[in-house]
Amino acid sequence: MTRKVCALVLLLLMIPAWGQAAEFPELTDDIYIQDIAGILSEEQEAEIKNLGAGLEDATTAQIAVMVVDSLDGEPIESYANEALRHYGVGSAQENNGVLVVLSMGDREIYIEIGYGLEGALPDGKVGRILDDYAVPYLSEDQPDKAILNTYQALYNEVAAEYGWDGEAVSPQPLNEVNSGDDGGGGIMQPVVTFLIVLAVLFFFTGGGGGRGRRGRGGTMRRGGFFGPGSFGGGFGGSSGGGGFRGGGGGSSGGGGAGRGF
Amino acid sequence: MKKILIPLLLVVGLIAIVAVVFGSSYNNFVQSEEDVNQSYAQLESQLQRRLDLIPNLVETVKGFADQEQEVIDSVTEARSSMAGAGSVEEQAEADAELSGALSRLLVVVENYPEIRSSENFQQLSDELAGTENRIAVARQDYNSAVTEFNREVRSFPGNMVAGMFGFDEKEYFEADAGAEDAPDVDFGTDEE
Repeated sequence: MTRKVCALVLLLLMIPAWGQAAEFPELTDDIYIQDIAGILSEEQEAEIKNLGAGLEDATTAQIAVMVVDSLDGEPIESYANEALRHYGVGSAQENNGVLVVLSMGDREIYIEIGYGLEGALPDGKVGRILDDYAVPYLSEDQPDKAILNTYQALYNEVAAEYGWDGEAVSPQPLNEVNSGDDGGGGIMQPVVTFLIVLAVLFFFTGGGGGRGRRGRGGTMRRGGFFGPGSFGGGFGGSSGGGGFRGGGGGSSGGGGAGRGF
Repeated sequence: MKKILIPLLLVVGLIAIVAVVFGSSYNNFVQSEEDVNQSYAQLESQLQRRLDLIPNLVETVKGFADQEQEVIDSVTEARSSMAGAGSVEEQAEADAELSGALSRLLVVVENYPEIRSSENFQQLSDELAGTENRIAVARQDYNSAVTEFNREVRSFPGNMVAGMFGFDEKEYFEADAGAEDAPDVDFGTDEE
């Protein structure tokens, strides 16, 4: 009898958490890119995942992207804030997450900044990144390049904040790409450089992620029953081990900037 | 002797149970009052942040559109009543008023492409939009902390403990219905 009551109480406690979880798609892969609208090629996704994983290993910061078809009428600012908290982007200690939300149907993009990175990425700077790297591509119907270049720009800012120099990506504003000879190579080249640097780094640090900073349990401020950080647990060096990387339990308070296009 | 012992044990046991229930209820109050205070501090710092941004914004707009004195004045006035607001309710109303004045200012700015294209204004308006957004999030966090707290105050056994230790229901941060329709500040730059 008591057991039944307990089970019922537990069930009732879980219902609100389910309701919350249903709003956002469940992660099926690393948190760095969720391309629900399907605008990125596989190579581009891999590139973002590489950048994201490298950055997280070095700094614990996470930059995540969601590309959705529609926001179902919700304002993009609150969608981004709720999604960042839901997935727990960034670490729980530092709240150093960034979430880019691009809605193709609403023609809007918003970048939400975790509490811990508001100093490195004040709203004005985020707005400028959008103006330089996102909006020009978006209005030329090149959302994939908008995402890639915006990601790289954010990546550079976060890396600089942590004084980490293990990278050499250079995002391209639209006009520079056009004046250059080959648009594709201009973006690929830094990535290749980065991969080489990463490989060297991994070689010297003995397999990467040795400090095991990933997947701390979620102590999100209003975490649901299945708190963030329940995925991708494990300690350092889990990237080859089957699971994928989830959020670290970070939170944000509405900082960031957005644009229509 | 035995006859007294059993009722005595019962009474002691009852008192112990009551003490545990009340004690844990009291601790819950302390915790959720702390949550309310913390989220209120967050909200206040965001409100202050917006106050700090306004003089800069006003100066920038004045530089280009001195003739729009009326709108500029309404922002300055709303700002000072915000700064003078004491209680949560006053703050909520001043906040709504200020948001309204700011959005009117930004509508006016629409007519001045030279303001909109200035980098300084672009950055300020991003900061302002971000701050409005932070205020919205902080307000929501605060109100849900208050909801939680007030629910404890009203329900048993919290209502008894609250009565004993003087925990009162907290005020929500919300303005009267009339003042509410203003705060949509959207800087979506729709330029192609």
